[in-house]
Amino acid sequence: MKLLKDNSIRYNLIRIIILAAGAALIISILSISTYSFIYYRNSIAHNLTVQAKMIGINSTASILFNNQKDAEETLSALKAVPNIVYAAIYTRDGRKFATYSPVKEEARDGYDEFLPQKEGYQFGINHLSLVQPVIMDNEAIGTIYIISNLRALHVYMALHVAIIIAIVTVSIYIATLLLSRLQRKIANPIVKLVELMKGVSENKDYSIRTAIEGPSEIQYLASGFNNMLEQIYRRDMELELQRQGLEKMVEARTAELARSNEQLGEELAERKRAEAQLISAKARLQHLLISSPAVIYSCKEDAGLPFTFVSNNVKDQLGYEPADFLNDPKFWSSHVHIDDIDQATAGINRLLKRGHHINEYRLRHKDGSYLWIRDEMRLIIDDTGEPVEIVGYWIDITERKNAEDQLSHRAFYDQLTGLPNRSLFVDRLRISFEHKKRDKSYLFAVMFMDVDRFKLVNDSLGHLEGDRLLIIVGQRLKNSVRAFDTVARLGGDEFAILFDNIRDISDTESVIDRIYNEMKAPFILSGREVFATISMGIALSNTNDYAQTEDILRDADTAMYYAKASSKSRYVLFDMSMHTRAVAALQMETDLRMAIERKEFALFYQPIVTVTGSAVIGFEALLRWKRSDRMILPNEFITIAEETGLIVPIGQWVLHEACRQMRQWQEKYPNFKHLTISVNLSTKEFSQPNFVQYIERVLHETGLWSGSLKLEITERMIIENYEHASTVFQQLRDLNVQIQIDDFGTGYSALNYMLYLPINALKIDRSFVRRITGDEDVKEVVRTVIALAHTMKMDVIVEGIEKEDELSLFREMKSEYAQGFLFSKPLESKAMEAFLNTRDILTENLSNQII
Amino acid sequence: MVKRTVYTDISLTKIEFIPVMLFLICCAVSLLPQNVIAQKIRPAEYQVKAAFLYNFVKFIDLPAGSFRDSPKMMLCIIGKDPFESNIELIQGKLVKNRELTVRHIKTVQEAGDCQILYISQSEKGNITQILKGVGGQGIITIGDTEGFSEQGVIINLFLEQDMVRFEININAARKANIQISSKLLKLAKIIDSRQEDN
Repeated sequence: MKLLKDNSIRYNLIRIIILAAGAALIISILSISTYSFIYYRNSIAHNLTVQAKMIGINSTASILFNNQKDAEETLSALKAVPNIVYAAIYTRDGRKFATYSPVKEEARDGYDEFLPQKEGYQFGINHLSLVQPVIMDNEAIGTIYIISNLRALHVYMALHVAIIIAIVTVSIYIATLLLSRLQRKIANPIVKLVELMKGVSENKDYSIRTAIEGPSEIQYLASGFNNMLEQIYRRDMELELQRQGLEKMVEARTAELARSNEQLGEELAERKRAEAQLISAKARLQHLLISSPAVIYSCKEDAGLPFTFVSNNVKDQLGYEPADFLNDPKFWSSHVHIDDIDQATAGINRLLKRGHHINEYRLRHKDGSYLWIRDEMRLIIDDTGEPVEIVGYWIDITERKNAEDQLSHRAFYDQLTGLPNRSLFVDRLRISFEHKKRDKSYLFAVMFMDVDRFKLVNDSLGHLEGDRLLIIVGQRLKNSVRAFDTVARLGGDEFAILFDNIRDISDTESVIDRIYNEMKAPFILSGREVFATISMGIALSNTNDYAQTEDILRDADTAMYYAKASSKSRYVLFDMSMHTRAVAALQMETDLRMAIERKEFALFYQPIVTVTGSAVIGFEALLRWKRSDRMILPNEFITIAEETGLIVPIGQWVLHEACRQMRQWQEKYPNFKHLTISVNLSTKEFSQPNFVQYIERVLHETGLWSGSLKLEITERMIIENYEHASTVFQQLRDLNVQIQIDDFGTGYSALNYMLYLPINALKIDRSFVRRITGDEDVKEVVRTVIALAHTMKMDVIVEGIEKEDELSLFREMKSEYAQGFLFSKPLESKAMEAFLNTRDILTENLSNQII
Repeated sequence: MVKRTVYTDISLTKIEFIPVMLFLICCAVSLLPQNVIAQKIRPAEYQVKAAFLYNFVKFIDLPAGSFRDSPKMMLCIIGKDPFESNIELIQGKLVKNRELTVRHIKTVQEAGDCQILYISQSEKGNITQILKGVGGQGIITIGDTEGFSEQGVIINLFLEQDMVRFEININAARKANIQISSKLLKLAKIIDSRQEDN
């Protein structure tokens, strides 16, 4: 069957027809078979129902009159009905009354065993069961149950379907035979057309024509096809004629071309030589461009500087391709740092005026960072003087700039805290000064502060922790101030704040509050909590007519010292009285230094007498400063002397002079032999490491017997260095020098220490004496103290006795000695000699008795 | 060939004896109540007979004038009532759209409005007189005494192998002008009294 092999029209036609016919037939078969099956089934069921009803009618009497035999006879009428396998009559109460079965029990498939409840028929796989009530006078008196075998039906149906299939198969075969002959009438002309088409396309022979036959549509197709071939054939002929004409023309032109080609070849060789030279020159240039760290460029002078050339090494420098610069006319200007754009633009303008300019600015790298660029530009002008373009090169100077920045930072910032240092602070202060010069109402303040007892932190925790403390203090100060205030570390533990442009002192107070609160939090140093306070002094710019920055800083410093001394106030505001005092103190310090050289110091002596008989037992040496116009008492200058350290030379002079005078008196007046001289010591003198040797040396130099010297020491000196005091006291005792506690009861109580120290006497301060006559409590305290001193085997000396009743009171309290105006005011050596001539002198060695 | 085993010694051991005895006791116990139940379940003879009376009416057509406008189906019992309470089973039931009503009468004269007349065994002596009294009135006469059929009672019940059966005197029926369904006749023993008349 050749025609069925391919995808031809013939094959398709047959296939479609057979498929359609086959499908129609199959659907018909299925429908008819299904219909027949259902029809037969229903007719069987219907038939059975009729039978059941008949039996029902005929068996009513048998049921009612309980006649089983008769009922079974009635049932046996079913013999006439084929395929019944079982039938039964049940009475109303469900009792099986009569049965019938033409087949053996096995063939009933168990259907006889039970009575289905549902009325009507039911189809099983192989059986039809029917339940039919027996009705008598509208009353159900029993039930008929019939089972019919459907096997016969199934066999019948199978046969039925088989016959139909056979008929259909035969029909399709016959149809196929008929179709294969009939379709040729339609398909053959088309096949012929196709074969013609094949011939034309394979042989390009447009002269072939086809026969016109077959159905009308195919005839049209064939004639149309013939016409088309005719037209193509004619056009082909025309084209062939034209082609031949053209060929002749081409031959003529080819000859011409060959000639001009020769000429071109010569020209080309010449150009190649020139190009080779150019390329080597360009390569050299390119090499220079790439190897140079400078980026070389050219651009138009238009706004934004559109680039016309940039060397390839720009990629190494800025990360951008040269094309990025060339494609975007505003590329350069959009990559200049925003802070530098004005300066860069100004540079361009200068370039346009002068023809040359060097600019430094920042350009953005592709990664977002900025490079410092040194850009040297030159303007190219044409013959008429019009600008043509800008050429230039730039180099990366970022490292140089960074180094510069670092240097300037180091110069102006404290390396430890990162805060501005003194020079930057002074610089800012100077700006504020300038501002104030222009605007008299302009107000600013300087705060000076240091960390209280910072030395203690440094000494106990080490310098590293001390530095850490300073860093944290710096941070907390920075946190406390306003954004435009300057916090600086001036050095050591000293910080300063410049409050710029304030309305009045209250503007600083809020900051001070914050600082105070910030400082309340502990500092964690070496894993422990450390509390640090700072002392603050403020100077306002309008307090004084400051001429120099250092002056206001100094005043703030002065105020801070007041704050530190007060220990109560958070800060102290500088006022002019502080300045005056400071100036006076400075003057005093200067004068004090001079006083030693000028011998302006003098010693006055006040006699110490026995309370009982007012006999003189010795003197207390008292220092006076004869300063040009007046006599100055120690309380005015001793603090400054201590602060400046001048106390040491002054003290040395006092001790030396007192001992010398005493020795002189003893030599001059033999009855002075047992008198003693009391000398006050300062803390500084006492705490000298070789103090006892120093005493020995003075005694040696002056020739005074050690037993004539009494040293007056305050309780504070004992407390501040008990170890030292203990050693020194022991050594002094070995030396026979006596020790007295001066100003007892005024300051620190060293009673517990005194118990173990070899002390000879207590001196009760004049402040007690002033109050003793009026105040019973004071009297009682003094009485106790005296009793205590006696218990500790110490004498009691009362200072500042001015009245007789005071003396009698102390006499009554059994105080040993007294001194005061009642007996004599302090006198110079000459006057003292005169005074002593009028008084009793102790002639026995009291000290020996007491010790 | 059945192999026959001869037991020479059938005495039981003690152990075998106990289960055998238990089995026998069980049998005895289980038999006893079954008999009792069987007696109770089997409907009493008159219970069945009462149902029969009711069912008969379904298969018998009475002449049109038989009811004399009464809406009831009157069942009259003459003589000693053997049904006792069993009659309650059918009393008041609908049959042919009429309410079955039972009435006891003493004399046949009272049977004028009865459609069914049950003649008790006690009336054996008066049977001729009773039948004369109802003759031709369209009354179904029913009895359960041997020989009643032959004497002219239309339906007579009798026992056959413990089952209630009935015989129909078709001449008497014809005489009484009642139509009996062939279905009923098929079940009955037919008595043709004309032979006996002759």
